[in-house]
Amino acid sequence: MITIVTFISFSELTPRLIEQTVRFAKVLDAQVILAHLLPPEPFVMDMAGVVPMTSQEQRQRLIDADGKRLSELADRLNREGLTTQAEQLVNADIETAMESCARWKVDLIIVGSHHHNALYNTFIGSFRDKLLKAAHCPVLVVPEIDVQ
Amino acid sequence: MNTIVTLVDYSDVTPKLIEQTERYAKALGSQVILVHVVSKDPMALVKEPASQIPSEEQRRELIAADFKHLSSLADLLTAVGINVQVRQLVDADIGKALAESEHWNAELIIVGSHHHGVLYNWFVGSVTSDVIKAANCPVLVVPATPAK
Repeated sequence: MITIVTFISFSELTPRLIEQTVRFAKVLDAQVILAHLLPPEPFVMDMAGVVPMTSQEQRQRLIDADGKRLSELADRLNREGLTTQAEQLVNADIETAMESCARWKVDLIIVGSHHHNALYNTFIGSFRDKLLKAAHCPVLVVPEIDVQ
Repeated sequence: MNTIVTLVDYSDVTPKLIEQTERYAKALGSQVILVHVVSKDPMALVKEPASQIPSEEQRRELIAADFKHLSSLADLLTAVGINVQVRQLVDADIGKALAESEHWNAELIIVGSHHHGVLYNWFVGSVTSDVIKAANCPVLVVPATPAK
């Protein structure tokens, strides 16, 4: 069976990503993995050395809340009749994300592309570019604006 | 009717581009427009290292040969029952190709991705990233590297 991985960023683009994922999963008769990448937590350097900016407890709360949102999205797709699972990639970077894709034997990766917001381009745009460089399978890039 | 626009460049990624175009055209029930951009650069179609700029007549021959090549790619898709048209855009650039896809109200653009070095991207730029930035519909990026 064909496997599609969609990288969700929980942005204003997410509904469009979901819409395209449903569309392609249906026509390709594919199963879906909704993945969300949680990068390693930020830290500050001070006199005491490396100090995480969040406590372990806060971090865990963040991971749990994020996991819940992802599962809810996956449930929605399952209700639409698509075989969908949620995969939270905690402390992952582009390399480990690609390793996961290889493990899942992914045929298609779907990712969003933000056109207009400079801040988003810096963070999510660069993820897209890194992904395009690293991916060994076709990548569907979904733009923020669709004139159709 | 739904339309897929595939931008071909006759590189090593072309067979994979055609393969993916076939797959998505069948899945989406789309017609296909195969687009090849012949840039204004007089050396654009010259394959062997040459010291001389081709004469006008030679360029006409090169363009004719290029069109034949494009048509032969289209024949591969026609043979599997896909409705294909070819568009050779002479003295054009990627902007013209995108205008073509807008003209056809394309629901999907398919492009190849080459992993150029930083220097190449800096000076020449990447067609892939230009397409992604300007496109209003989803863009399927097909990597040159074989799937692992």
